[in-house]
Amino acid sequence: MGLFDEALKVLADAVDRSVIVAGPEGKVLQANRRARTLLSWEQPDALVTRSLETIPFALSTRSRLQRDPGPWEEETTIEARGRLIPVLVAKRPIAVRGRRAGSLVLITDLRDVTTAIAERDRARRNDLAKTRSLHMVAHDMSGAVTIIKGYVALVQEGSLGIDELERYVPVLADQLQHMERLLNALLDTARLEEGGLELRLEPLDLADFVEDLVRKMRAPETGHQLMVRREAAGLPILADPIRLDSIVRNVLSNAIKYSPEGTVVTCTLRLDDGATLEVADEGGGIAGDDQSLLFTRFGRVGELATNPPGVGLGLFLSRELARLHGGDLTVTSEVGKGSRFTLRMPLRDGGAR
Amino acid sequence: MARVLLVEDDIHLRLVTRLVLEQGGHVVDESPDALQALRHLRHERPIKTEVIVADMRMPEMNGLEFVAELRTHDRLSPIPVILLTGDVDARDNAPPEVSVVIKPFEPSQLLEQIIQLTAATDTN
Repeated sequence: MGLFDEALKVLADAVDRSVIVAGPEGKVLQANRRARTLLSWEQPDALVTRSLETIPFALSTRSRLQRDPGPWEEETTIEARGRLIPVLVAKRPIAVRGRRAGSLVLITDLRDVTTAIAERDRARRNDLAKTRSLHMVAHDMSGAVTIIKGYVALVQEGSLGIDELERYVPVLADQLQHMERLLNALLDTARLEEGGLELRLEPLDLADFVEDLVRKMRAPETGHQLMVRREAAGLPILADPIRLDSIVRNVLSNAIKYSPEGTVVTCTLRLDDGATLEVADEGGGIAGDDQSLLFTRFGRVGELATNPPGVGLGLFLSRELARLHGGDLTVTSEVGKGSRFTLRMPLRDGGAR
Repeated sequence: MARVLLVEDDIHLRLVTRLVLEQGGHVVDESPDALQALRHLRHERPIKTEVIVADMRMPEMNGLEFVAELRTHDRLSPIPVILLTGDVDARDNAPPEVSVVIKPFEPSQLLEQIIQLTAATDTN
């Protein structure tokens, strides 16, 4: 047998449907691996005695296979290992030098197709969510870029002197840092998906860490009051400071973003099963159905999804990061009563000071 | 030269956009959200605002809702509106008479847009 014939056999075994080649009288000459499995023709010499009419299709299909040279295809059933399987059968005539030489019968297991369609739909939904989330990241970035661009343009056209620009350098630095955080969130999300996220653990104290961060975050323009309540003297943990910063910052800015200006956001630090940070806001709260959406990769809740800007990645990433540390991030909330996010991290050396 | 009402919730964006507008020779009033902007406009008698520049995405009332609200007031509906947005597809969602400027924008883009809009209302 030539190379081409061998190649065809390899190809026939590689396709995801059953392929049968029959002679002019309907005698089976070749069947690919999938066909042999489907029809239990595993013995090497099994083919010799077979003909198309012995394939256990529904009766009408059997007779059509015999009399109708094709091309045609139809949905039918086949009996395999005692079960009726929905299949799509196609028959194609094969001519050699203009004369009918036989036929090709293709059988597609429709159960595979259903799974494939469900899989494709799921992938498509995930793609859509990803696109939406990319839009949100792009939106967040566009604000920062506009600000930086604006100042640069003002300097370029000479309407803002370099000495005057100095006044705005902290703003520019803030915007760049904001963009850097967005970029890191995107990168971490991608790394999570690929399983390549590595933590750089350091001994630190959750209570001190949160207090420090809250001091840095007090944003006068929102008018929110950030309160820290320490119910434990120290909460020693092992954590990656950059990721911990991202988790706590996310939960805090989330609380600020979704609660009215001038209200109080309370951070309580306590020792229970582990080192615990509880962030409680006086916002509108989140309905039970929506709570489960909060932590999906690209989920944001209800009409909020169209209003305040923000990246859907935030809470998903925060929870995943917390879990990588051996901890967790959870929420309890009631509509009209605000939300309470709880970050629980394992204590270092299993003990507290 | 026009009197511009700038509606933007982000304090930094508001500041730099204001600087850009002022460098373009415009007089700027500002509002941190759409509700305050509406209050400002309702009390302005006669109307001095010639152009409104508003962010698309704002809490409470977004840019599109703000425009829809303006359209319900006879006095306010003729004021031309420019919406600022980071969403490239936003142009499709905005009513045709509203100008959309995509962020990040060149300051000159915004200024040109204002000149166009004020020129159009001057000739009417």
